[in-house]
Amino acid sequence: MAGYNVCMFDATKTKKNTNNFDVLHSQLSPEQLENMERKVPIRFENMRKPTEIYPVVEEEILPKKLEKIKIPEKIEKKLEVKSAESSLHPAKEKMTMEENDRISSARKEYLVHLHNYLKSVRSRRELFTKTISGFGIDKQMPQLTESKELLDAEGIYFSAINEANKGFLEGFHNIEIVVAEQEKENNIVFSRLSDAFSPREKNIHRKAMQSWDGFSEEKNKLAEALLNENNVKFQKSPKAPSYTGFRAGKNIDEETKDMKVFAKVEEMSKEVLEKVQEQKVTENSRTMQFDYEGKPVEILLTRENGANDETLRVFFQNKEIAKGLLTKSGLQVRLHPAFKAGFLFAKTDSQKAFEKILPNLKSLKANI
Amino acid sequence: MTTLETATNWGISTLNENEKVNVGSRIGKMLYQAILVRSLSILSEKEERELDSLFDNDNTTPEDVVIFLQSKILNFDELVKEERKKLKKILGL
Repeated sequence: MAGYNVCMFDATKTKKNTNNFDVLHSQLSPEQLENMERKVPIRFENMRKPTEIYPVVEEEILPKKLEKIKIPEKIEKKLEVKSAESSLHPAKEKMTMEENDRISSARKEYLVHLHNYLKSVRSRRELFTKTISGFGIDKQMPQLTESKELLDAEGIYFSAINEANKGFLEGFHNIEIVVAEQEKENNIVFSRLSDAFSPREKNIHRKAMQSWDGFSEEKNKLAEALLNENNVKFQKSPKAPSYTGFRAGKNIDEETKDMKVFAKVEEMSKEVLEKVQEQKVTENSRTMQFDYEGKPVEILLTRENGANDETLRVFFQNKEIAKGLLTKSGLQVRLHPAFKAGFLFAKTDSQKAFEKILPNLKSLKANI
Repeated sequence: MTTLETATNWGISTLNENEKVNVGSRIGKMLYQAILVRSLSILSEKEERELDSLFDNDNTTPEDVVIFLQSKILNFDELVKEERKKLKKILGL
C-alpha cells in the first residue's frame, strides 16, 4: 500500500467491532504518523488504484514539437555479395540431396573408367618388365595416355563437386567445409579402387598415409612446400641411378634403342591379338588345349586346300608365341625371339610354357 | 603457413594461424596422396620394392618419400604441377 511504511499488525490489541484500518492507524507511533506521506487514514475505498499509480500515457499527450519528427522505418541489412553469380548460390552448411546424388552418379562412371585405366597400366607394365628385363635393365615404362572417356568422366565428376562447393564458398568463404567434404570423397574413391591396386601398392599407400599422420612438424613443412606454386625443389637423395644390371652406365642412344625394341614388341603383340580375334576354326583346322600354371596354352593346326603341310601355331594367354610346320617327315617349330630371354637370365613364362608342351607337339602326326 | 601468397592462393589467408596450419596440412595431405597414387603407376616393380623397404625404417618422413619419388621419376615437377592444378579445380579455387 502506497503511503504507508511497513508495520507490524498486532492481533492482540484489536478490539471487537473495530475496523482493521482503524486498528493499524492506532498502532502507529506519532513519529511514524508524521513521516507518512498521507496523514489522512486510508481506507480501502480511498486507496489509489493501479491506474492512478501508473498512468497510461497516450499519444495525444506527446508535445507538439515531437509530432513533426517521423519515426524511421526498419532498415533491412543486406549481405555483401562478391559477384553477380553469388546471388544464385546462397551460403550453406551441408550438401543437398540432389547434389549428393549428382556427385555419386558421376563418381560411379568415373571409377569404372579409372579402374580400367589402372588395370591396363598394370598389365602393360608386366609385359614391359618381362621383355626389357631380358636385357638386364630395370626401367620405367612410358606413361599410358588417358582415354577420352576417362577424361570426360573426370570432367563431369569434378564439375559436379565444384558446383556443390560453390554454395559453401559464398558469403563466408568456408574453405574448411569444402576441404572436409573433399576428404570424404577421396576416402570413398580410394576404398572403391582397391581392386585396381596390387597388394604391394596398397601396402605402400597405407604406410605412406600412416607416416604422414605420425610426423606433425615435418608434414606441415612438406605441405607448405607442395602447395607453393613456385615449385620448390627438394634436396636430391644420394641414391644410385634408377637402372642397374648387366648394362649399367649406358648412354642415352642405347636407351632409345631399348624403347624402340619394346615398341616393336608391343606392335607385334597387337598385330597377333588382332589376328587371333579374326581367326575362325575351319573344317581343315584342329585345336588342342593345355595348361601351364593355370594359364591357357592353345595349339592350332590348319591345312590349306591342296597343301601337304599343316601350319602349327602356339598361343599362350591368347598371344602367338611360336609358329611351325607339321609335315609327314616331322615337326619344325620355333619360339618367337621376343619371348625368349637371354641365356644369362631367367626364362620367361612363355618360354617355360613352350618347353612344357614341346613333348606333346613332337608326338603329333600330320593329318594328311 | 608462412607465405602469404600461398595462403591467398589456397583461400586460407582469412583464417587465424592455427586454422591456417590445420587446413593447409589437410590440403597438403590430399595433394601428397594424389602424387603418390600417380607415381605408383609409373614406378617399376624394383623401385616399388625399394619404396616399400623405405617404410621399414621408422624415421622415414613424408619428405623422404617425396625426395625418393623425385629421384626416380624424370618429370616429377610437372606431375606435381598437374596434381596441384587438379586439386585447385576440385576445391573451386
